[in-house]
Amino acid sequence: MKLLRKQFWRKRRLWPRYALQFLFFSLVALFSLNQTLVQNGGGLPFFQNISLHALCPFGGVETLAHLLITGTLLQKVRVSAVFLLELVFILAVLFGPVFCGWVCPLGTVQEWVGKMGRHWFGTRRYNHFIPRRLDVILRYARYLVLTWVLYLTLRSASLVFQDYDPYFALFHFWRGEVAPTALLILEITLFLALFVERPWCKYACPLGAVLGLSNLIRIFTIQRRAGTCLQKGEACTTLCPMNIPVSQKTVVRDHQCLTCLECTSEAGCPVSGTVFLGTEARP
Amino acid sequence: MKINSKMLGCVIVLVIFGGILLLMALGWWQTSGGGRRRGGESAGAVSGCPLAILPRAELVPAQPALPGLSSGRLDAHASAGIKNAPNGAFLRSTFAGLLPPV
Repeated sequence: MKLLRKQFWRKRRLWPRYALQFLFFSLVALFSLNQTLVQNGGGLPFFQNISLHALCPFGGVETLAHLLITGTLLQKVRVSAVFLLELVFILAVLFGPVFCGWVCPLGTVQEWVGKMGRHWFGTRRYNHFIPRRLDVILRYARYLVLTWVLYLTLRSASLVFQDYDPYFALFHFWRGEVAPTALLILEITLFLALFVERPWCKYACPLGAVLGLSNLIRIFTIQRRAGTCLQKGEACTTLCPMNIPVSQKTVVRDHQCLTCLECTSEAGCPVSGTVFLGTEARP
Repeated sequence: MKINSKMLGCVIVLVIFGGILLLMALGWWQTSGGGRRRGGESAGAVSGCPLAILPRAELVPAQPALPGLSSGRLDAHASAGIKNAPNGAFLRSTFAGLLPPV
């Protein structure tokens, strides 16, 4: 009982992440609902110009090549998406893909659904259904998705990905403009989230593929002090939503790390100051 | 240097919201309208930035409806006046019958 209480308070220490996830999810939902209300003659006038396309940094990725070649943005994509992408890149160079772990509303929804799965299957069973070898190979699928999306976008000069985008479907499903493929992908993603943590982020997200590369160059990394590590429970490895073997590394530079801090001594690791986010010590 | 979740949360909020506010202040934050060409030339876009400077015509307040003058005629006069007339000429031409002789 005492251990459970300790675990509960340990998890609550990550409340800034949960609060920010809720904040960004609420904001995007508000903007999306408001846009529907504005089209029907109501809504809040201050936010009436903000659409989902204006707030999606992946729109910035899609349009970047187009912008460099032709000097114009893709249809529907706003300048704000490119600026937002720049801000996300700045954060990624510093701390890795914190956008995925702290901001992205689709990741947040998958996490919320995943909590049900974790409750049903238990922490040790949940998120460990896919064989390790297959899992490692499937993780590179998101780079294929990224290549495919960029190729089609450059060829057609339009937002091709919108018809497959579960993020767009999530915040527009009540409107007629969502393609059935996007809705189907959203449903599959949410169903799979009951068994695998963040399935879209792990295996298919093209923005995650771009931001994941920042793990190779990021300034602040997740680090493990081998001297104080118990090497017994492997709580860090078990709790990592992206199944990164943190307990076998001293510095995590895996392309899938989201900087969610679930493995750190603030949350999962039972030994204080053993797993933390920080700059690498110079030899 | 170590960083905990509270500090990281503050940095994320500062970078994202601070960045957006800075861009809005500079007039570079555009959330609606069409594409913008290199060099800032807008392709029929309306800036969503609250600090954007509107053209002079959009700042003219709506005229109240007057007896004997249909709203359609007032609109036509108003748009023609805003587009073509110098200061004061629009009002003098529209309300010539109602105003006392100068």
